[in-house]
Amino acid sequence: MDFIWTESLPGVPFEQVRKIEGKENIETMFAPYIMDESKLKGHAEWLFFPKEEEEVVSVVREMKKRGAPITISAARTGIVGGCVPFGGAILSLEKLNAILGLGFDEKTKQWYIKSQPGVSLKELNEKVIQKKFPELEEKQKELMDQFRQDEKTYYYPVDPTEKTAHIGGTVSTDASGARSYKYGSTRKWVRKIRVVLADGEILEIPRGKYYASSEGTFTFQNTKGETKTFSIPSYRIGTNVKNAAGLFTEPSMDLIDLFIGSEGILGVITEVEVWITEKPESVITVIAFFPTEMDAASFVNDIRRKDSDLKTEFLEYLCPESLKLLRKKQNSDPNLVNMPPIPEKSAAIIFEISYTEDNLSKIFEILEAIAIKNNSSMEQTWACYKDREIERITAFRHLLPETVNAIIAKRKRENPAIHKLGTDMAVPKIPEVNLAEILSFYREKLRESNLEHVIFGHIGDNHVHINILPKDEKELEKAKELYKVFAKKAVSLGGTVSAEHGIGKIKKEYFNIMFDEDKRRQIIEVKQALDPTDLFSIGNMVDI
Amino acid sequence: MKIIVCIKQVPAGEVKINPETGTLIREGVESILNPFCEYALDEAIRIKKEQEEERGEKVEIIVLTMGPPQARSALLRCLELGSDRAILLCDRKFAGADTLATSLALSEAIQKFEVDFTLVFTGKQAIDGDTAQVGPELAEHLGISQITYAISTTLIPERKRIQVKRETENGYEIVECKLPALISVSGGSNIRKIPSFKEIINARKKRIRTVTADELSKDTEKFGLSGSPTQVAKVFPPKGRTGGQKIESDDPEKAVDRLIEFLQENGFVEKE
Repeated sequence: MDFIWTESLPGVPFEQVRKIEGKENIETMFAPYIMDESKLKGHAEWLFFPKEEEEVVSVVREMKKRGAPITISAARTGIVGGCVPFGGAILSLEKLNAILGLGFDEKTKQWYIKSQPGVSLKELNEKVIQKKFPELEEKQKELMDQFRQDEKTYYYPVDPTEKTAHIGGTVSTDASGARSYKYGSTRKWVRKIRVVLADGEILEIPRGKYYASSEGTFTFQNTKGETKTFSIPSYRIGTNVKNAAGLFTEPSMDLIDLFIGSEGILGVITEVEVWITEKPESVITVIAFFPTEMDAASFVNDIRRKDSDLKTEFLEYLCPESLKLLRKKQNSDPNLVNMPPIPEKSAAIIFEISYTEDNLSKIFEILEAIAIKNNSSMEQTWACYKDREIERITAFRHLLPETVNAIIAKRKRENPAIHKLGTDMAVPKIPEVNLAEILSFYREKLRESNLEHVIFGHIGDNHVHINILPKDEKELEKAKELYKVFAKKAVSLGGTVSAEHGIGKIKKEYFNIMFDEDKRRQIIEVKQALDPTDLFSIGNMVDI
Repeated sequence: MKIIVCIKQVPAGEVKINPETGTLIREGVESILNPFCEYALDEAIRIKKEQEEERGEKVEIIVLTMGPPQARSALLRCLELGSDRAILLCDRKFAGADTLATSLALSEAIQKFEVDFTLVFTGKQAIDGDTAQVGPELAEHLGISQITYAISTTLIPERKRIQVKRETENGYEIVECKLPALISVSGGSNIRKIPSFKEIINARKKRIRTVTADELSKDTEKFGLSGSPTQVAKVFPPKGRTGGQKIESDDPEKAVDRLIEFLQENGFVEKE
């Protein structure tokens, strides 16, 4: 049996860790820490701000002794309540915010960054793109010089929209976003993690070191000589579906993948190493308009078939209702929309392609042929390649969800029970699954229900978001039922109920459609093997 | 009909100045087409569309600038937005030109290559130098009528005239002049046009002609620094405006008390 040995750190006196105590104190003075972007509100007795890994260890040991659960918290940009505590302690990792090093992997010839979890994606990318790491200048002078001499521009390509998100949070949720079409989710970019486990010991997990045994087990041994063996889940999720639901598993899996996307239920990530990659020199973002939803879906299929020539960064969708809503917004406030008049068309695809001046006309020819085939044309497009225009089109992309949220916020003021229902299903990218059919299914059910809605988002990954905007409680109930219908349909096609939002505390109802009792039990068994006293992030993903 | 649009490339955003040399720092600063030049181009494109569609008269828009090789990108933008071709006056001998030498070079290029023009459009000023001199000087060199600060224009081809609504200190006035004429444009739509992919590709097939000083004249001393009677002694950014005073309070009554106090202290209202 191959043991995975954990290490022990001495820890520091618990009293040394900066903490806020008392439920009321936290609720009044530190209210943002008991919420995330879902606005789900929790409560906690302690709020810790460790500044080093040893302090994390001390908090874990002390809370375990006191029998108080720990909810791990990063930048709280999530929307499923993953960092929202219900009792016990909040372990905020925001002060573990140092970039620790730059590395070059001789084997793969790739650069990587070693960082504490509390570094924001914004900071990480600003530093990587500019090649400016004041904190590393002395420590890694030679390597920094080598990095600067490399003429290419690099970046960390995972872009889950919220750039204030912390790298640790994005690893524990396996964050993705529009660009995962080309770059995949966070998982693919993680080279190594360090984790504090529930017994207060530490495990460093580089990718490619620990694999599940042929029986599908991992065996850990700590410094006290205690061993525990557990089985990895046996359920299968298609590799060609974008998924953020459940623990990752596959035969002979790498241990690192079990922790990535585990929503904090297995341990505290205290250090990460992520690959960075060459930033495309130039990109062009294009919006093309179509007479029907089906034409748009067929355009997406055609682009995906030509992807080796086109190098598409992302493919996003705007449905007829989305365009209608944006046109209405444009009529009332053209400066806010800041775009030319939106054509009276039924659907739009927003896509981005990396190019060079040399291959631009070749790309154009391919796109023009595909557009004409699908009843559109490159004459009806908006094409942006200058920074300022790309900013405009990015703002335009974000305007739809913002508009939807504003409508819902207004309705909520009149009736606090009202909230938006945003789906997050994705179906596999395989020839047997027909994108147009899926859209038609959603369309038909939405038409029957007569609920106000928009469909938009990551169509390139077969991952569109349906936002339903209920007007009253009756419609809200109807919407919830419809959500379940969609979830079942996605699961029946081998898809997922959550492609990127995760499950947290809010989406368990839909999670249970995808993961029956037996599958949930397998997750719980992993959780309880590593965390027998249910210390970490209870209430996320599964109920114990 | 031939319309010439003179444009300038300017730094985007805040301009930084090298305190030692007193010159603009251009490295690492994105360059954009001067917004007023873009308004001028909009006006030319509108007239082109109108004339071609309503009167069936072919209109050619030629965009003209003087600048370093990088200025090609501003010309390319104009071609994407609907100009037909472009001319770049690019030569070390043009460098260091003040507004007079600049307008002279532009006028000689027009007289040499596009003398049969009907209209010249310029922006009212560039947002970096803010002189507003090149347009009027160019009209003088060309010996044609000029109307400055235009916000809209109406071409009256049958009378060979143009009518212009222009901004003044106190409002607007509508004036007319005969063609050919130079119009400097001071306003347009806030919401900028975005070219289509087709226009982006087509623009790359259009011609940008590069012209040197020697091609314009045997006497190149009149261009550039040597042809400039004025020189900039010092460049400095304008002082930023201070934000004023903001009274912030959760309690409106307290805020009002503080406001009244402020107004009294400064003599805007009498103390009770």
